[in-house]
Amino acid sequence: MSDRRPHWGISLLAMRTLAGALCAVTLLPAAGVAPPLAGQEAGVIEGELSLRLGPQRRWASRYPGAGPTSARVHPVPPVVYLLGDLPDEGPASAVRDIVQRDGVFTPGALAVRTGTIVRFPNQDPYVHNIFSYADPRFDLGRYPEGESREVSFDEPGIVRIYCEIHEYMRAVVLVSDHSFHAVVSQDGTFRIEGIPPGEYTLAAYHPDLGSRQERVVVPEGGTARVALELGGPQ
Amino acid sequence: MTHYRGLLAALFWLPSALAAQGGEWPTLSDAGIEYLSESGFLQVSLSGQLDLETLHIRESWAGLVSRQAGEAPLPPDRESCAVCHVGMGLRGDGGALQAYRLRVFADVFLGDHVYSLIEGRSDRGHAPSDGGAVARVEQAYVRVANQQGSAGVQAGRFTSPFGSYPLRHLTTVDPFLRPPLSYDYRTLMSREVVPANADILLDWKHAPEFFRKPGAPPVWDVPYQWGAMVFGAVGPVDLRVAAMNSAPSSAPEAWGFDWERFEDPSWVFAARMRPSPYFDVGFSYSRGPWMEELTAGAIQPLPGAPAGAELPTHRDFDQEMFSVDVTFARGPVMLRAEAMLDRWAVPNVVERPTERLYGVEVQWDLLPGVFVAGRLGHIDFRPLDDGLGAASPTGPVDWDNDVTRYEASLGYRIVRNAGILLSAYEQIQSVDVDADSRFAGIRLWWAF
Repeated sequence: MSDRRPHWGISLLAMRTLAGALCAVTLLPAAGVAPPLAGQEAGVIEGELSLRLGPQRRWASRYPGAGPTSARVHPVPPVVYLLGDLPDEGPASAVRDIVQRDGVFTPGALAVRTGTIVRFPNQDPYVHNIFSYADPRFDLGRYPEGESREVSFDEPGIVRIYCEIHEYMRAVVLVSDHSFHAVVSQDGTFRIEGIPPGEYTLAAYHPDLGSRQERVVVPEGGTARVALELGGPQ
Repeated sequence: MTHYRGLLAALFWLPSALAAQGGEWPTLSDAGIEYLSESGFLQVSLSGQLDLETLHIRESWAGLVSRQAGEAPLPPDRESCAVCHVGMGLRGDGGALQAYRLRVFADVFLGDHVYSLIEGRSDRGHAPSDGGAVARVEQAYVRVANQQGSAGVQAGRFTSPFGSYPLRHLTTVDPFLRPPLSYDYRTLMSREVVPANADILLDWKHAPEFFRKPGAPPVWDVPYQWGAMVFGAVGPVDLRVAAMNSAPSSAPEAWGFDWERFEDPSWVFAARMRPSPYFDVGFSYSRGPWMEELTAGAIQPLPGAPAGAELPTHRDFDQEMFSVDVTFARGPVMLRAEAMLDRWAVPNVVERPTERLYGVEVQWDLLPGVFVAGRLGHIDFRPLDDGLGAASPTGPVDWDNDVTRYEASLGYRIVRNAGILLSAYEQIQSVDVDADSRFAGIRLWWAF
């Protein structure tokens, strides 16, 4: 799924920022969504997402302190989700985990419904300090191996999560008030099930590549296939 | 007043405008300003930070901060006429000082083993002053290390590994506007003027305008010096050994590249370990020449030196420093403490003037992104024999006046990469009032 071509460019900052803000972060309802009719058989979206993501980035400590002075920035998987006024169905709110292990958030991305509690167990022999200044705004403080903290994600949005101590650590939690979302697998494929037939806007988001939207028509009892690309020409 | 209005507008309008855009202010990385080769072997990443500050100082100076750029011309006889100037203090017009600091970093990676940093900086001086804007290359070094980056060598211009503060200065775990007292206080030591004897040196504190104002601090903020460093680990202990081109007390003018300085470098040894997940303990030692070309006074032969022996030069006098620091971090609390011992070798003074330096700091995260912090700093200048023997009217006396600084700070992270910091301190000197000082300031920062 990764296009490992070199890139050396300056994209439009304002466009990226506004696109991220309007499309990905706030999860605004999209126009033109056809509301499902009662009694219709649900459909499926299957897709493939190509990422024009460069090679894995490196990070280095600039000051001569203690411990390792360099690390690899672990890639965060993209998420896909439907926009619009969708039925609030699917699994009830649950508890999910994002583990801190070897200086990496595992998994690097979660897609959850509003009301889900996410736990952050520390399995590293050193302290982490997890925070986000988006909505919800939280700072879990410094805690050691064997301890965990948790956060309730009650508002729809995309929440970028970091460690205050290890700045190369990052994760994403997609929160929606429905269950029509997915984390894209390593081979770039994804599948969203149980969708009422109709026309929707499918959005894809990656913290380094921004977001992209695509119109998709979900047939009654059938499968809609889509191919998306992130990081390429819009 | 125009400056004030502009800054206030920035402080109150910009945060809310940009925070509304999704939790982070724009970065160069967001804009795709970077280079990654196809194989990933070469990576060039650009980033930076802009600090806008309004500082208010009661006198014309506070620590290393001064409202008067440069140094006033001094009378040539200041080394011997200190007593004539008793009572002359360091008052002067206090007031507001607008400052900024723009840093741009280029992080360059060649494979997994070679890393280079180039930092360009523009500001109104290393320590803010009312001088004009200047730009310079602040750091430029190459590091070659093993895959994990736990052992290797580093050479170029970089922050001294001495002490605990350089490791966190101007980062999100530096909760104050100014460095700790040990890194931000001018003593009476002169890099360029030699006292005729210990008794004269003890008189210098009566002429602070001449001696304290250009005096050498124990550590000059965070020195960015040329040097080379070897680092590695022995068991749980991380070790650093470095040869830097100047002493911790040296001024920025001495940090530049000069081969002659490496003939007699300042050696730094540092060790750091984490005995538990909550504690971080460090020790560091530095020793090297601290004086510059003399402008006044003459160096006499060392006591006991044979007749006809070559006279020592200013490079033969070392500053020797020890530092021990402890950090405790748990939940919303972070505690830091550092103790130092500073010993100066001074021409024509037999005994080494010495001071003990202490700093304790606590930071408490009240709410996500909101913290308060307090810090206490103290310097205890030790008694020095005036060398007069039985004729001494007082016996050994402190070679400078003890000083204590109380600081408080409040910080707010608007988003992950931007915030506001308010900080203030009151500094009290034990005997004289020339170094009493009040400082307050506000900083808006944006890491892009």
